[in-house]
Amino acid sequence: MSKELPSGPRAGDRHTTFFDDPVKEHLLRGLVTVSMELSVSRERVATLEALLIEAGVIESGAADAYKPAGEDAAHRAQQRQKLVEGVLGPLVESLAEHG
Amino acid sequence: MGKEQAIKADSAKAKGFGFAPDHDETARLAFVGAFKKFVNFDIEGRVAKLFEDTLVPGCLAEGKREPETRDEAAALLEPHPLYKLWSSMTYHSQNLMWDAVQQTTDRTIEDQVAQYQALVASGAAQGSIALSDELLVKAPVATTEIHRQPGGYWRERREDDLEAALNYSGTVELYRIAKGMSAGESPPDDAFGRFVSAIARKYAPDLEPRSILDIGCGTGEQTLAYKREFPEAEVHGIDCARPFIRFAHAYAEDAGVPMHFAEMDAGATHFADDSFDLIVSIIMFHETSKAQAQAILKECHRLLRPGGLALHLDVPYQPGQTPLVRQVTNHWQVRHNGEPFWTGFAELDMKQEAIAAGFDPAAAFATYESVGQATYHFFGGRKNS
Repeated sequence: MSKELPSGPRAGDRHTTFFDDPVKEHLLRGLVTVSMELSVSRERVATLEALLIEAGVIESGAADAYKPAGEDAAHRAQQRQKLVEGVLGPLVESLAEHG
Repeated sequence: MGKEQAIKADSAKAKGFGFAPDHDETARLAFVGAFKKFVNFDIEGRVAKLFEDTLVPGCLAEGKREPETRDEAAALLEPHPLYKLWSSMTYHSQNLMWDAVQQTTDRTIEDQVAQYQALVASGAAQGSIALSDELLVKAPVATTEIHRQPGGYWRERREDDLEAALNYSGTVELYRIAKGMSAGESPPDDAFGRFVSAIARKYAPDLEPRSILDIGCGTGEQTLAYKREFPEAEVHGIDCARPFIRFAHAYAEDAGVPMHFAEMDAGATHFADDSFDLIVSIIMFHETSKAQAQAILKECHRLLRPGGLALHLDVPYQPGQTPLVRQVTNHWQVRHNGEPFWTGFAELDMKQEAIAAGFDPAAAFATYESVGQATYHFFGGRKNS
């Protein structure tokens, strides 16, 4: 491409904060963003369940009636624990080391 | 008649070309819409209640007088944590919105550009597109990311780019949700244009426009409404942002509606005197400046045929119409949401501006009209016959 492309206006700031503590403010915003992704995942699961019922693969209520057992149950428990440790572990370490 | 019916029947969302989020992108946008609605109604409503029930009585209890101006109200509100929360969440909702639409755009942009290029190469368009290398985009559009849209309206990142318009188009339905205009079923994509057409008929019932100009037409989605509502008229749309003109052309062709789009400055168009019977715009004036607003109204007067109507829709936040708290939250847009002329526009008397631009005082107007729960400011004039 030979000609220069229009650059647009000067890029504005994307990280302005309004509270006295920007760290807490970004944590709050992060929480909203995570809620958004949770909402997206919930909708995805609801869609998949609706499609499976519609296609006759499962019956309505089958997911609610499902009881994980054996290897499946153990894997889930391990994943759950890993998530809790991943979220809170660094904070515990940091407070233990630096107060 | 057959043609008219065909055009009206095609009012459903254009297929193939346009903003098309997938399942998860749709869910993400729906969340952002719900979040914005909560911020606009619940948090802002609570801020208004705090002002009336706590901050103003607190002022009076200290022996001070009640705040009377926007600045006095702002001085009370701005230090309060609830107002800071409203600011932070409004700001974040705008970041989330642009991030969300960008995901769809990044996934589809190459295909959209290819569709545009194929259309131009085919020479099969019913309408037309005219781009201008001479046009200089003016401030604030030249200098500001309006609504904090990354890249603004006119950045181009690839040949024949229309990314800015694709992103903008993705936010329209979300804004409807956020402003409480969309409950359940979505209104047609050209609902604003149809609303303006209905007001044109109300203000000038005898007018049968043969040619219509939509200034600041943006994506052209609303411009299509004028051809659908007035099928006998030749309809033109102009905008100063090239990606939007490309998008509008492809969108109209995809919808099967013959329209003419051109990249042009609304204050200095290339059209001859007395070219149009109806000139319209939708939420454009507040994105200009005082000088540009006057130049555009003058241009409207020049371009209208005798008996023609200039009819402009914009935000209804004139101080006389707007409670103090709302004036404060509106003025926040100037500093933090890329809307440098938002307050300046609200403080202009658009009827006087129309008169200054050449419209007869008896035929100039500045009014308010409602659609559903939303109210808009209308202004312009009719050129003397």
